[in-house]
Amino acid sequence: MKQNLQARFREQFGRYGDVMHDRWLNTPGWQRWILYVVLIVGALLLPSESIGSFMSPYTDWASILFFPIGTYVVLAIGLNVVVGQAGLLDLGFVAFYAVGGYAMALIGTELGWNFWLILLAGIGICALSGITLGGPTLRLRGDYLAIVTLGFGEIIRITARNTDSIGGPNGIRGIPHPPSIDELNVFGVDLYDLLGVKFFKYGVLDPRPYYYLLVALAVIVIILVKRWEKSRVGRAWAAIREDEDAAEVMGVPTFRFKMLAFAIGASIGGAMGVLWASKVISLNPNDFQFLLSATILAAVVMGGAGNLPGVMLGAFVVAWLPERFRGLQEYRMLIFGAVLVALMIFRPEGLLPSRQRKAELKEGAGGMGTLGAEVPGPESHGEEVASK
Amino acid sequence: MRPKTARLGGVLAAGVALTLGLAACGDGGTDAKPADGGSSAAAPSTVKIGFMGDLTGPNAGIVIPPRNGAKLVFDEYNKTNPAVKVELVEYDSQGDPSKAVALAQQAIKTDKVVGLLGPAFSGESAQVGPVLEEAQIPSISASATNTKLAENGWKFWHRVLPNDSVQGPGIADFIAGPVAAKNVFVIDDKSEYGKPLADAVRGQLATKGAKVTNDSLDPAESDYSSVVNKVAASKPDAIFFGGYYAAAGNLLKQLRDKGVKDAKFFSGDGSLDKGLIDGAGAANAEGALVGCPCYIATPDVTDAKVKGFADAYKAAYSADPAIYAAEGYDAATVFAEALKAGNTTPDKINAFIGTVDLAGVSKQVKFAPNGEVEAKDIYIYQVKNGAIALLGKATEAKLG
Repeated sequence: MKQNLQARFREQFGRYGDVMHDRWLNTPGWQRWILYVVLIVGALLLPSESIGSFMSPYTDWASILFFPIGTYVVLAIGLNVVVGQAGLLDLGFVAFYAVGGYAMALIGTELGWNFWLILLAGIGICALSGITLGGPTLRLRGDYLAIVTLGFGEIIRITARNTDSIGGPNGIRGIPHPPSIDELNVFGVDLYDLLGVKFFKYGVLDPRPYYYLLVALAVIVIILVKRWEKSRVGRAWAAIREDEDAAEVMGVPTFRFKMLAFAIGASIGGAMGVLWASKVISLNPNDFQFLLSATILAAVVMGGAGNLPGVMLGAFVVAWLPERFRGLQEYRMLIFGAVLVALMIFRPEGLLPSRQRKAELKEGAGGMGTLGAEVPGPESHGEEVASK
Repeated sequence: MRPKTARLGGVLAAGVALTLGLAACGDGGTDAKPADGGSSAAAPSTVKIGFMGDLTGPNAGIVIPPRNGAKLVFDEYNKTNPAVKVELVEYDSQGDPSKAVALAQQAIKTDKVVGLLGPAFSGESAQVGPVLEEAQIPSISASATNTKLAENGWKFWHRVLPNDSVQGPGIADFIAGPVAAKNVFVIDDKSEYGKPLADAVRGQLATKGAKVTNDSLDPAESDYSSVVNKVAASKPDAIFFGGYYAAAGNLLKQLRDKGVKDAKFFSGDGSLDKGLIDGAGAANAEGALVGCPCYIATPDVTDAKVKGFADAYKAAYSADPAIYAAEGYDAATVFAEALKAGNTTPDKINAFIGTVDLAGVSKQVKFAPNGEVEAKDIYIYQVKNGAIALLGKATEAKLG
């Protein structure tokens, strides 16, 4: 059997991954929960300076943990619902992030609501905008849907730029922070003195409180998304992703489930937008470029669309590498690109691929659900595709 | 066949990436060495001053000259063997506000800078300003012109050039005064820089009794024919464009091609670049006028101080000082003077900046309590024989 190095590496790495995956599937629930708690505690300890000096010698580690790393991770989790699970190629995800950001900025500065209320309102507004976009467009598929969503992303940005009542090109300034809690006593011990971090003091100087807020948001989002994935809804999404017509014929109300995926993805993007806007104090339409949509989509695909840990890992890599290599100046984007190319050569189905999707890929159904119907997968052979 | 080529390609790509990576590492190493050697051997103490702006991004062309100007000051200063040397730390924000905030945190917490030059653009200044304010780190920007920045009540923020609400009326006065235009067509590019500037021009022209027609264009497009047709129909004496040079050059070319020959073409500091001439073509750009709150030392200056700066700049970077170079030089000079006077902590330096009154290259440098510079001069430049020449202050310049 003649195999080249690349294919052999791919296969061995894949087999190793499978072994790990099997072991994970057979792990009892209580052991899993131990790992979850360890992961959450690890996430809370991440902004430590001792790691920071290695992880990002050129930028403040705690700051980039919030943006771009944490922000990308949450956005990728949201986009994964749309792209990874329901198989809808959405190129305008940044629009929902922008709607969330603007909701926070406008309600916060004009009406002066509490941050937590705005967060809820923002999620609602974004879900509504997801439905508004989904209503007329989700009848389209694959690349047509991609084009429409791409347009929507740009429409939001250009509308914001041209609407003077929301600041036009100047954007909005003076966005309020979440309310701070200054005193934090547990059994008479001041936690501030103990740990040196004011967990709930939201100012401009210390990014860590926002990061903790982001971790909390991420944990909630992950639990919800995981529950959806395991439920009937998740199976309906998988059916739509694999073959929309077959799903429809079998009695799955595909349109409704696609709308649901869109609304959920939009709400997650919007929640992140609200959180982000409350940290940065000022925003303008240029913060919501198409490039952000493309980057998040790259993170989802590269990490392994459909698999939550994979998607999060992908977002981390995409957000972290350019900051890590900041010292190389002009070369940093080149190296970032080289790493992406290398990853796509050696792990074409993503860093930690979803098994189900990997099988779909092998079958020749391409990467993006119905989009890739005619495209051979990386390990399929020409005749398989030709026979379809 | 295919696997072989694929393998070859992979090896090649990896090789290229490695080589470039190593080359880049090498660059970083040599850059860092002199600074380290200097600080450990000669002077016992060194303070860090940051420079933040778009050094590798799309608009780096207007940030690198002030960086060079600032470097010049600190190199000169360090050569005098002062008690406290300066290390200039560069923060490349690429003009992206959300990245700029993380870099500012790094500057404050890890690098412990005592002052910051920049951020260069208004967008990043709006987000970095509050962070510097809370950390009490003084900053002086050499190029952020958005008017609203001075309205935040910041005590540690300064800029060494007048803002857009000075620039716009300054140019408008020139259009209505020496040019005596009665019918002006004002176009903006809808950006956070171009629109407020164009609005300021419109407002001032209206008070001067000129007839003003408005329109906007999208700089991302390449075909401005809808705007150009409106301009041709309105037959203006003068046209003002608020936006950057890439769009300005293209617009000017399309206007002249359409037969709008006699109307004087004006623009603001965003168009003060050779790119305007390249984009429009030398023949079309001839005579175009650009206003700027910046002072560019042209080769024919006679003032000894300015000439000294221009010569030193040319010697160091083998290029003539470009946009904001003099402002970057002046901003850095303020910090250097503060250190000479023995102020090495951020709050002492800030107190010094509040009282500073020195003759800079571009202007007399003296700050108002809100951080704005007191001098309000706008300069008018004109394209002559395919090069940008200084006409003089907007209040004094005459059309040749």
